[in-house]
Order: sequence, then C-alpha cells, then structure tokens
Amino acid sequence: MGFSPWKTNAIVNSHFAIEACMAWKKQKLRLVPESEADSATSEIYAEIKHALGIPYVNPMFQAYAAYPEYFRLLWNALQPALETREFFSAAERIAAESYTRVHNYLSVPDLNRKIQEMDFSAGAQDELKDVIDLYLYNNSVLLLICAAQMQAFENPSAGARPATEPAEHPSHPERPILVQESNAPPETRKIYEDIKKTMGTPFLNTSYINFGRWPDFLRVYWETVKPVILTPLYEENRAGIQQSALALAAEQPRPLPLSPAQTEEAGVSAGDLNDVIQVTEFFLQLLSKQLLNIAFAKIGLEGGSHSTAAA
Amino acid sequence: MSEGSVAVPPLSNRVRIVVATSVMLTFISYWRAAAIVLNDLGSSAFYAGGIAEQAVGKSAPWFILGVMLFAFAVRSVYVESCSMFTRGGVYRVVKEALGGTFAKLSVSALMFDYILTGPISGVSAGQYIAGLINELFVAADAHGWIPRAMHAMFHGATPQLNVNHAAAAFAIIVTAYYWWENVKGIEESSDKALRVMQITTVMVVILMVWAIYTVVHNGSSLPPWPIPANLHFSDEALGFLKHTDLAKTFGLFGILIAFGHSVLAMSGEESLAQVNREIASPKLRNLKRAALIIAIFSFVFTGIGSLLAVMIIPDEVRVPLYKDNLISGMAMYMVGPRVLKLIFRTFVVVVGFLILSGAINTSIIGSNGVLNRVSEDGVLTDWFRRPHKKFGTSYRIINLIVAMQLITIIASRGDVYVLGEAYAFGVIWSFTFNSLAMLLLRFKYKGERGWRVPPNIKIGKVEIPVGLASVHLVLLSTAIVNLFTKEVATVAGLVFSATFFFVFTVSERVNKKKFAHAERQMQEQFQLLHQETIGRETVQVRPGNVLVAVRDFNTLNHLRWTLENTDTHETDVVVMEARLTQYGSAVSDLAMEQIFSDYEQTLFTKAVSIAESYGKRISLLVVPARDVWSAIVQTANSLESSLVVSGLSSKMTGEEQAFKLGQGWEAMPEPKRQFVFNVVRPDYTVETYRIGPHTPTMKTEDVHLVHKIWLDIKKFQGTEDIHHSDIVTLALTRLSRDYNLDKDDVLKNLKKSSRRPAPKSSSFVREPDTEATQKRTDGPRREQPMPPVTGPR
Repeated sequence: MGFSPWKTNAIVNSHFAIEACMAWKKQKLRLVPESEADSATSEIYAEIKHALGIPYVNPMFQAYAAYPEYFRLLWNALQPALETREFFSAAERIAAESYTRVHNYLSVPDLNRKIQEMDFSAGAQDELKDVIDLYLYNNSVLLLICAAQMQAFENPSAGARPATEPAEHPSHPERPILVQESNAPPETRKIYEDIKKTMGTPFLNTSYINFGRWPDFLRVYWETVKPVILTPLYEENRAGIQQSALALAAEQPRPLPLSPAQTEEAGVSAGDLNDVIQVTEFFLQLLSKQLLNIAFAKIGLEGGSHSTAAA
Repeated sequence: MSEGSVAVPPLSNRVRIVVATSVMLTFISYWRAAAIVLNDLGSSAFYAGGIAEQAVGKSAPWFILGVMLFAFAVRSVYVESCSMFTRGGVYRVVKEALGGTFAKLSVSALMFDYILTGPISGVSAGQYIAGLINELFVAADAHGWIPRAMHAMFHGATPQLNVNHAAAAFAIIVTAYYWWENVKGIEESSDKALRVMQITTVMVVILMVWAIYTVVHNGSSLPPWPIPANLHFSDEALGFLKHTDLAKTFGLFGILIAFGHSVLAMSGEESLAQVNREIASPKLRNLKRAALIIAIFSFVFTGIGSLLAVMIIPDEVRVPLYKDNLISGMAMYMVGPRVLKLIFRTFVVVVGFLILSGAINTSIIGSNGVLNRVSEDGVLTDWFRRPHKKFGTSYRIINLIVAMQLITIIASRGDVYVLGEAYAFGVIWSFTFNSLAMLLLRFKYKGERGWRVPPNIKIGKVEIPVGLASVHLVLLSTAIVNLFTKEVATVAGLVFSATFFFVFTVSERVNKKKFAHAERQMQEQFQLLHQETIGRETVQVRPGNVLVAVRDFNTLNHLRWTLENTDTHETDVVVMEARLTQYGSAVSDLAMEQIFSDYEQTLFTKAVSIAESYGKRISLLVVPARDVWSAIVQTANSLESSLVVSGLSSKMTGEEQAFKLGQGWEAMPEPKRQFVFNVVRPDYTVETYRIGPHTPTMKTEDVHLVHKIWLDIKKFQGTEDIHHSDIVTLALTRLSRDYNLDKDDVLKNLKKSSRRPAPKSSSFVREPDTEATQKRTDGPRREQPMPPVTGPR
C-alpha cells in the first residue's frame, strides 16, 4: 500500500516509531471532545457508548471524529460487526492474551498490598478493580476495531460470513471519575506529563485520567509500570498483541467495508484517508500498549505475577 | 472570649480566621476511660512486686499496698489538674507555673518514663513467656516427651531457655513490630483497651478467688510488717548509700527508701490526664468514677496481688525463680491439680502478653504524642515532625523513640530489675514536677476549678492547700531519696534528661527565630481570633450556611463548586479545616501556634484567593480534632449549617465518606440537626446524601403499592380514618417484629431487594443520580420535600 508510511504487519521498533510519528501527531492528531462535538457527532458518540456499553467516548473515536465523513462511514461500517457475538469474543480473547502475556513474561509487583498500606477503603478498592475491568474490556474492543480497519485498508477483498447474533458484552454504566489535567494537583500533573512522554502521545488515555482520582495509586502504578514499558520484552509482547488483534480481525464474519476505493467513493478525500490510516496505525500501537498496561494493573491488584490468585 | 484568648483589633486588609482552641472529640464512657488507663497502670502488676521484693525484702508487698493507697492522692492531683482546663499539655501546665526551663525538664523526665515503659513491658512479657516455656519443658521431660537430640543439646539436662536473653529477644521483636505499625499509622481504639481489660478482669477474679482459697487452705501467714527492722536492702537497692548505715540508723529514711523502690507500681497514672478530655458528660463526675474504678482495680490487682504472691509462693523459689514472673509463680503454687495450674499459668501469660505488649505500643504512641506536642509548641524543630512520604506519620520521632527503646533493651540484657529501677526515676520525677506545678497554680491560677485536692485550710483570705502540699512533699522526698539509692536510674535518668533538655533548648532557639518570621508574615495576612468553642455568633454566620471542609490546598475544586453555586448574599459559606491532633493533645486546649501552622496559612491563602476570584465572601475556621468526621458534624451542628460540602477522598468512595459522617452524626450528643452532604468529584459532578434520620426516598412502585393497598382497604366499612401513613406504620411494625424473630431471613430479603447496599447500617441516604446532580451547574441542595402521604402524585 503506497500511502502507508509504516508497514503494520512488521514489528517496528517502538522508540523509532514514537520519534517518527511525534511530529505528525503534533500537527495532525486532533481530538473532538464530547463537549465540543456537533450534533451529528454527538449522536454517533451516544450510539457508540450504547453499542459498546461504556459510559464515555475514548480518544480513538474522538480522533476519528476530526474527519467527519470518514467517522460517519466508519460508524456505519462498524455497526453490523458490533452486532455479532464473534466480535466481542475475539476482543475477549485479546484481553485474555494480554493478561496471560503480562503474567507470564513481565514481572508485576503486588499493588494490592500497596493500596492496603495506603489505607484504601474497601469501596475504593472495589471501584479501582471495577474500572480496570472496564478498561481491559474497552481497550480490547478498540484494538480489534483498529485492527479491523487496518485489515480493510490492506486486505479489502474479504467477504461477509454467517455470524451469531445478538452480541453479548459487558455493560459499564457507571461513569468513571476523571481528573483532567487542568483540575489535577501538581504532583498528578507531573505524572501525567511523564505518561504522555513515555507513551509518545499528545493526550492522556482515559484510564490514566481516571487513575488520577487515586493519586497515590497512580504514582505507585506508574513507578512500577514505566520501567517495564521501556524494556524490549514489553515491546515484543506489545507486537504480539497487535499481531493477534490483526489475525482475529481477519477472521471476523463481518469485515468492515472500508477499502480505499470504498472510502473514496463515500467522499473521503485522499488526504483525509492518509491521515486516517496514520491515526489507525497510531492507535493500533497505542492500544496494544494500553492493554498490556491495564493487564499489568489488574495482575498487580490481584497480588502481582508471583501470586497464585493472578495465575 | 475564653481565658487567655487574644483579642486582635480588626484591620481592614486582613482576613478574619476563627481558630477553635478546644479539640473536637468523640466522647467515651468512664468505663472505657478507665480501661485505657488500666492498660498502662495494670501492666505494672506483672513486675512491680518482684522488683520491690528484690530491693527491700519480704515486706515489699506492704509498700506496694502503701503506694497503691498513695496513688489515690496522686490521682486526686490529676483530677484537679483535669478540672482546671488550663491551656496546653504537661509542658504548658508546668511552663505556666514554673517557667520554660522546668517545663523542659519535666518533659524530659516524662519522656524517660514513656520510653522505658516499652522495654520494661516487653522484657516482662518475655520473662512470663520464657518462664512458661521452661515450665512446659520440665513437664514434658517428666513424661519423657523431649527427644534425645534435644537433651544432647543441653548436655543431658532438661532443655531450658536463658530467660533474660529470651525475654530481651522477645521484647526486641515486639518493639520492632509496633515500630512498623506506628510508622504505618496505627488506629487507636478504646474498644481494644476495653476488650483487653475485660479479659484481664476475668483473670484477676480467678486469681484472687483461687489465691484467697489457697491462703485459707494452706494457712499462710502475712509478710513481715513494714517496720525498719524487717527491711533487708540489697546493695543495689542502697545505690550510692551502700557503704553507709543511714537506712538502718534512721528508720523513717529506710521506709522512704523502700517506698521509693515500690513507686513504679503506680506508673501509668499520668494516662488519666490524657484521656480526661475524651470522657463523656458529666465530665467531672465521670472522671471521678473512672478514677475510682482505676483505684479499686489497681489496688486489688497490684496491691493485694503482690501481698498474696508473697503468702503463696514459698520463699525458696519466689525470688530465685519467680521474681520476674510473680503471677505465674502464684498460679503454680495454688491449691489444685497441676494441669489446671498449668492451664491457668498459660492464661496468665496470654493476658500478660496482651496487656504488656499493648503497653509497648502505648509507650511508642505516648512518646510520639509528647514529642509531637512539644514540637508543635516550638520546642522541637519541624525536622522531627516531617511526615512519612507514604504513611504521613511522624516517622522520625517514632524511629528515635524505638531506637532508644531497642538500645535500652539490649543494654538491660533482659533484666527487669535494672529496667524497673530506671523506670521509677522517670515516674517519680514527672509526678513531682506535675504536683509542684499544681501547687504553684493554686496561687497563680485564679480561674475556675472543678475540684480541689482536700484538705484545704483557710486562714483569712489565704487558702492553704494542705493535701496538695503533702502529696507534693511525699513525692519530692521520695524522688530525692531515689536519686541517692538508685544508682543506675540516677545516672541513666540524668544523662537522658540532660540530653533531651539540651536538644529541646537548642531546638527552641532555632524555632524561635523561624517562627518570628512566619508570625510576622501571618499577621500581615490574617487576623486570628481564638474561641474556645465554635458557635454561629463566633464565626458570624447566619443559620442555613454552607460548611466547606478543606484539607489539601491542591484540591479545592469543591470550594470552587460551592462558590460557583452559592449566592453568598443569601447564604454564608464557611471554609473549615479540621486540624488533626495527636493522641494526648486533648489533655487541654491548644495554643494558636499549635493550631495555625504554615500549612494552614498556605491553605487559607489559597481559599481566600479562590473566593476573591469569584468576588464572594467566605468565613474561615480552624478546628483541632481527633477525628475529622466528628469535627465536621459537630461544627455543622454548632453553626446550624444546612449543607456540608467536601471533595472526593482519594482513599474512599463518596458513599463511604457519607457513611463516616453519618457515624459521626450518630455519636454526637443531642440536640443535633440534619443536614445535606455533597461530595464534589474532581470532574465537578456531585454526589448528594442526607445526614441524620430522614424520610427515605421511596420508589414510585412502592408509593403505588401503598396506594393500591389503601384503595383496597377503603372498600371495607369503618376504614374512613385509615390513611396511607397507617399502612406504612403497620408494615414497619410487622417488619420490626419479623426482624426480631428472624434477623437472617429479613437481611437476606433486604439484600435481595437492594443491588448496591450502603456499607453496613447508615444514617445517611444517597439521593438518586439525576441529570441535575451530574451537571456542573447544579446548585447546593436544600431539604427535600416530604414524599406524598395521601396517594401517588
């Protein structure tokens, strides 16, 4: 594919990739927050939230919303896929794989002991565990959506197959408490900056803004996960998750009708399409990292990778 | 305005802050107060008798009994001190009467007392445990249960632990354990103290009944009377006087020496002053009740116990074998089967472990409290008080205390006698300083006293405090005699007190310079008004005001939200900080510099700048408290606030915050008012709860069900007077009956019908989330209208 700056099916060095795409991100990556969305976009946002059973709109959709024609097209293409049970069971497999990879290959400390020492109440502990489950579910679904788009861009010939309906997936109606950068205390803001720098993103993923609600946990979590993110082993596992997502996306009974020709026909300009592909590749990498990071938090709260509970 | 409060003339460019000088407390019954004191005082029963007998001979129990009787008098000094309500702790009381130098000396002596409480309790508990293990080894060996290999290790003899070394090792382990618990921040509870005392009481009752039966059965004789001829001092007991005949030549002097060696039996008495402020109303009566319980219990347990021990345990084994675990010795020489005696001895050891290891913890908490207090008084630099990065505790002070305790344990090598002798130095001198301060305050302090140590003789206009002066003279003469007879204690005590005195003096000078600068800055910005208690008039706010609880100056979004949503022309906004105080700081009122620190200055500067940015007026309030939640509900009640606003805790959910507040509300004495509690999340969404008994929010279907039943009932004749409320009353009466008959079944059904129950039973209710509560523009809520009672609307 001549328009793609990066080959998605190759394991690229993440540090090189981060440096290479930082300039692009600064110029091109624009998010449309829920509060700034026009009525048509807001409508799609509401439908997304309902279809996925989550109470907020992830930055990935906010990034696509910056290209309204493509966003509308994407949502129309995505809806039939989201009605199949196969889609959500594939997402579940991705989440399970990331959990297993983190547990087997990375060393996770006992974060549960740490939050006990920090005097977290029973309710706060439950709330934290609940949101981690939410992000594990949500990020796996989003990664699969990214991978499905990438399959559509690169292998547009795949046809529809019979699927099982209706889809079954968890629902998380409780809106997580987000501490935006502007409202965060200085200590938390410093951690936020470090997260953005380390993850190579100009924005913060929802999970971190949510973890900012427990500043002590965020600090301990980030102190333990950051050194792991910088290891080659982490990158290898991230690439593994990305490959699995692409493979599972290829097996989906309802592939997305989003080939370059189809998008062009629908009125998406070549420039926008090029940007959309870059956005997709960016989120493909980011979400595979996110999944590992969330699995890290989950295992940590289950007692760490040396605990029998986490096995 | 209270005694000693400072009236600062208002300056137009300064912000007025009301500083409450009385600590807001959660009150406890006199039983609990007595239990807390007895946990400390009662622990000395485990070692005081043995130590005294080693020093003065077999007539020691009479002196212990004498000390326990004298403790009544010492306790009355503390009761008078507690009834005065003078500002400040031990340091401040003595400072007020005797000046700064004596105050620092008295605190140094008190620290010596506190720090030694840990090692002596730990080692004593270790002695009881090691003694039991050795006894069990003997019993096991008699039955041939000890393997040969183990015999070989002890050269063919019955395995025996080195009691002193084992006791020291045990004391080190337990001290290290409580060090870590205190660094993490241990939660104090009067429940624990009460439970330990309940178990101890069971043991004491069994001990007394069985011991008296044994004495009657054996026909044991009383110990020799406490007359000079019967005093047999050891060389250590005479200290610097061992080469003189003073003790024999002057009989009374000998008795005073013996009394001085028994004085540690009343150690722990000072805890009464610590718990005094937390005793529930009527305070003085309850304080006296607590004092009476303490007196009776300690007289029976320590005094009578020591007497019975000498009567029951044979002379040939009492000192050689059981000097450091006298109660265990009593258990072994009771009349009855050996198995039963061993079981009771095990029980004694368990109780000893509970009460003595608790005393180690109390000593760390107490020392930490005292050093924190003097640090707040400006006598120790802030370096000592710097909080632990993770746990927020004053870990440097804790490390210092525990390091000194561990050094003491190692230096003593597990010898309870050496520790006890040294311990008495701190005990007697802190009592002496306190009684002297109280004596002088009789003439200097003209304010109200709830109670005076009797007798007092009035000559003309002058009242002579005969009782108080006598108590002081006895304490002083004992303290002076101890100086000469307790060699180790005198040297160790003087070195220790001199070191502490030096540290306090240097720190105070450093702090004075620093504080003078901070005070100048503060006075430029704020006008501090001391009020002993908080009321609407003192804060100058109208009823129905909004109380905003603040703590961290980095998270004041809830104050922004409140100001955004409150018309301050109609509703006053009070910004309140509950300043947490250490255990022991409730002894008396606090001084301004103890409450209003640099931190409060930064916090209120930020609060004021936020209010200014909204162009709205706020009232500022600092309240010292032992428990934040109680302080909030008490303040809301005193100010007649209709709404309390707080930020979302980073350690608990909003629902749990409301639950804690509800618990504080339940514990508050009548009269109390209901209020609404809003938890403002960092994203400016709001959780709303109602605190206090309230009309529950009824589901629409429940309202319809009541109405349907009512309609059905109305079909029958003679039901004209039946209303919806009667149906609800009947339903609740039946539920109450069912609940009494089968709690589990009712709970099971309630859990089934409620998906997410509130934690435990609570006196708050969460209002349902609505669009309005989720929006930033939502205003502070007011009392909700009553739900319909005459049919669904």
